[in-house]
Amino acid sequence: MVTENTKSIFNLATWTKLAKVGSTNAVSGLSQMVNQDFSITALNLEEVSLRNATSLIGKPDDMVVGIYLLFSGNANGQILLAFQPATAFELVDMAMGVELGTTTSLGEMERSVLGEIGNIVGTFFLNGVADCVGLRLMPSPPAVVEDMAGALIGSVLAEAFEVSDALFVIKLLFSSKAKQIEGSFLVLPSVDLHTTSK
Amino acid sequence: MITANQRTISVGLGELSITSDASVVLTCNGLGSCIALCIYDPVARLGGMAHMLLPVCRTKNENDPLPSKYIDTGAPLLITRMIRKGSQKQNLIVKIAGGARMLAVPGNSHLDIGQKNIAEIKAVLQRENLVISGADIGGGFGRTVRFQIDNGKITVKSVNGVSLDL
Repeated sequence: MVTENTKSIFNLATWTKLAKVGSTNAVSGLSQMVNQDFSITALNLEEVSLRNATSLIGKPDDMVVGIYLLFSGNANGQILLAFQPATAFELVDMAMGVELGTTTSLGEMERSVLGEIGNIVGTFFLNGVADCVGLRLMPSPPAVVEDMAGALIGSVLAEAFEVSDALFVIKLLFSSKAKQIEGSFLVLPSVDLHTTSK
Repeated sequence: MITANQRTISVGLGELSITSDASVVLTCNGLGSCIALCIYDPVARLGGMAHMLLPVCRTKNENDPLPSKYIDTGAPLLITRMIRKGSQKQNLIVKIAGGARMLAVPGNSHLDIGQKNIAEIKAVLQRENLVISGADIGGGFGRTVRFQIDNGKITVKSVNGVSLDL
């Protein structure tokens, strides 16, 4: 349900600020989890059309590893962390404290590690946002998927595009200079920002 | 594999494409919970593909720029447009792919959108009195669909490397 309090945060300027706070927190969480110093290389609040949606995390046929969470509480939405498979393998190695190149595929344990990374990053983001606006936001357990970028993003966006042909997405690119790790972090609030921010 | 004489048209999310150009291969790349509806008319030598995201349009909009976003509007639209271009309904060969469950988060039914899409496309085609003659649906993995207009051949390649001719 959208309360007055919730509705007030779905303002473009406010969300831009919240996105920065939440994303900084999220990257801090990732840095702690994998013991690497990550920094934000790009942070945008983008309006994305259905036509362009499949390119959000790569070409439709590209293989990606996605870590997906829902959030609920005073506001609802979706969070997706997406990496190229080789990058996801390196993140697992970092988190496990083993030599880079050790992980070459995703078994149950590797998926669990990535799920925990998603959990930490998602929780840090939500806590950052929640602290700013005094809302209660809770993440779901994570789902880890290794598949085509189009298949993954299409499924994530299905519900979001039910009410609109465009939606606002917080897109964060981050990297570690030492390891050249890059990834995408998408947050899709379920309330229609396009309409409510006018 | 695309030959030198073929060209690919990628049908994006919410789009549909109809062609009689025998050199064309219609493709749906990275299909997850979405449904690719492929219809071939071997008599009129016409092929059409729709890439549909959601089962039912809740807010009907005559001016919707992407009417094939929804199965309940997109599938009939593809059929109607093929008939307008010279197809006869009894000649149509219908095949479908997609409807995967990509995201298994416990307790969230909306992530079963793939199953809802499958149910809706079956219902719409039944209402249209069209039989599904080939399908690769469900599961929990992505697919890429290729539809050759010169011979109506449809190939579905799954993310696990399996290639299936419908």
